[in-house]
Amino acid sequence: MDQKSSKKNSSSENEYSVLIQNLSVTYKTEPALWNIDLNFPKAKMIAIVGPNGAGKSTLIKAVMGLVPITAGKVSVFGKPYSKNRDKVAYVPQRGSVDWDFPTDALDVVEMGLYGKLGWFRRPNSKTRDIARECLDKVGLSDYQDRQIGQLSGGQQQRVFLARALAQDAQIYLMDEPLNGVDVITEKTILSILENLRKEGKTIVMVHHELQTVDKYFDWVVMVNRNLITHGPIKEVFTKENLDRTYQEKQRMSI
Amino acid sequence: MEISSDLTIIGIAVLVAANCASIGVFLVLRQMAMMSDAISHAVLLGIVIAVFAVGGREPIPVIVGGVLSGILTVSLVELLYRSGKLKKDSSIGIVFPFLFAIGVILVTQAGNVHIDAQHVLYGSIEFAPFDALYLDELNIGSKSMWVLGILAIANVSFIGILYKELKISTFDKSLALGMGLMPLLVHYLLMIMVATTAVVAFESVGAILVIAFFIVPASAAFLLTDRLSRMLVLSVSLGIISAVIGYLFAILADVSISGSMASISGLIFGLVWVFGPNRGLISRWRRISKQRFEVDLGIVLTHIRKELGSNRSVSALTISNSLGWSKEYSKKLSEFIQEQKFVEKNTQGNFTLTDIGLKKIQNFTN
Repeated sequence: MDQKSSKKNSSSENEYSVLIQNLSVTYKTEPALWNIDLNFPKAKMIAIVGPNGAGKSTLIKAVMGLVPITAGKVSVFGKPYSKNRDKVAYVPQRGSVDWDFPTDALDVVEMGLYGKLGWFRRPNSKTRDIARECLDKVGLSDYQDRQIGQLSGGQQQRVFLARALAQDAQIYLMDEPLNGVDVITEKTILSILENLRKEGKTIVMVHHELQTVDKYFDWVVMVNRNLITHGPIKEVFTKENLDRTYQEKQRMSI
Repeated sequence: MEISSDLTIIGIAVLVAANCASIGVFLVLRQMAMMSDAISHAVLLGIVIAVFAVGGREPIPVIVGGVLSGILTVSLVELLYRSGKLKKDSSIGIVFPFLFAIGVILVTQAGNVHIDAQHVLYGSIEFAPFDALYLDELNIGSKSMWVLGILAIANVSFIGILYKELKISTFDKSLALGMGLMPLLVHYLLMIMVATTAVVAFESVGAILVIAFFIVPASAAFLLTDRLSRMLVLSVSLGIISAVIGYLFAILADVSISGSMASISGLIFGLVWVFGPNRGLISRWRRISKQRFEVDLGIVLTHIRKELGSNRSVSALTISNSLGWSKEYSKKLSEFIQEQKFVEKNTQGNFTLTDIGLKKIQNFTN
């Protein structure tokens, strides 16, 4: 019996890439996320939806320790994030960096490899080649020498995706990568992500357009400070749950 | 053999410029110009306390004191800023005048210790050659030159070794944090280098020129290139050029050396800002007016198509009337579209669209 339960334990651990338990995040005294229990299953395209200020970005930032956790814990493949950094790639919101920075598209993609290089080791011809490959995957080979501010919004977003690809991770956490991009970019991004999912990678995306949720994703997390629900699109992406998620004010359920 | 004092002064100025202009690149990119201003002033407090403590201006205690007060400045600013309510520039504006003012009070109490506020603000590069360093009673050159040379090696090593870490923590702090490349540590290491540079440079050229060399060459370099490595090289080069030209001007015009150097660096920035090849005022203005002309061209051509579609005749005069543009400009555009064969004039002197013109319209409307 003991054996059985431990077996069950390990199988559940294998199923999930990220396990979130009792997670609360507060900014000063303002609660951003309240007592969240959640897991991201492997090999799924997962959408995080919810109104503005619901804590969607905070949720993926908390996974990576980019915001201080007030309570609870997060594990990535059964370990704290700090032990599994190289398994997670992150695509921040486009507005989070200074696009006037003196650097070109290829250079930004190469930054995705800095984590693997570790302290002090310099980028080399190998990292350059990987970066080139990744830029090619998102269809931007011709723009590798372009200063990043001179790229269109969609191209900038694809550069960010290429950088995440260069990280060669198991989990891709993305903060609104489809926000304000052109049709070609949206298609490119989705087909690349679909390929990653087929390889068994987990894609977690903060997503704003509710109309496309059931078309693009197979799993959804609905959040409004509290976790409303999460699960396969077919089961949980219902009008009733959407109403609960987008209610004007969510009371904290304690 | 004695090195001429002119060469010593130029050497010191060039080293100050190179030190400040290299580290300044990261200050400019991190939008921390004001912070360098704060640190450059606040180091006075640490310097004065160190001078009191050891009873003289020995380089090492002075540097340690200055760096500590630099770190204190950065920490206090962060504390005020993080506490909510206060914006970053206000936090800076509160902290450094306070620390600097305490430094000033202490300086005036100094009495027999050789340091004064005048010296702190404007420096005394003129006298640097006479402050020689002796090794076994052998004059081995100016003390400032030696200290600045060692600092240059430290700064080059710092940027060289941590180039990748500095770059990523400046461009995308959250990615650096996620990757475990500790942007906060990098930030404080950079602040330590800024404070060290400020203290050492300050000794020779004073606070004002230090700030000028931190910010001005790097800003000019930012307008000249799209690559971080080139920005570093350009920034250092422009800093050195300002120092040399500034010195020569000061000697010719018999004015303050640091004042002259700072003015020249400002002048060089002005030239880059106006005449810079891509981001300069003139080339930007040219680009915009070219784009503006293209837009106007599109408006005129679609206007002609619309008018012809409803069987009205169009000429330079009707264009001016219907679009509300001046007669001169309408005439200029009308001539241009004829030269480009977008339109032809019929026997009554009215415009008809050519195939080239129709194609051009398609380019606009697509």
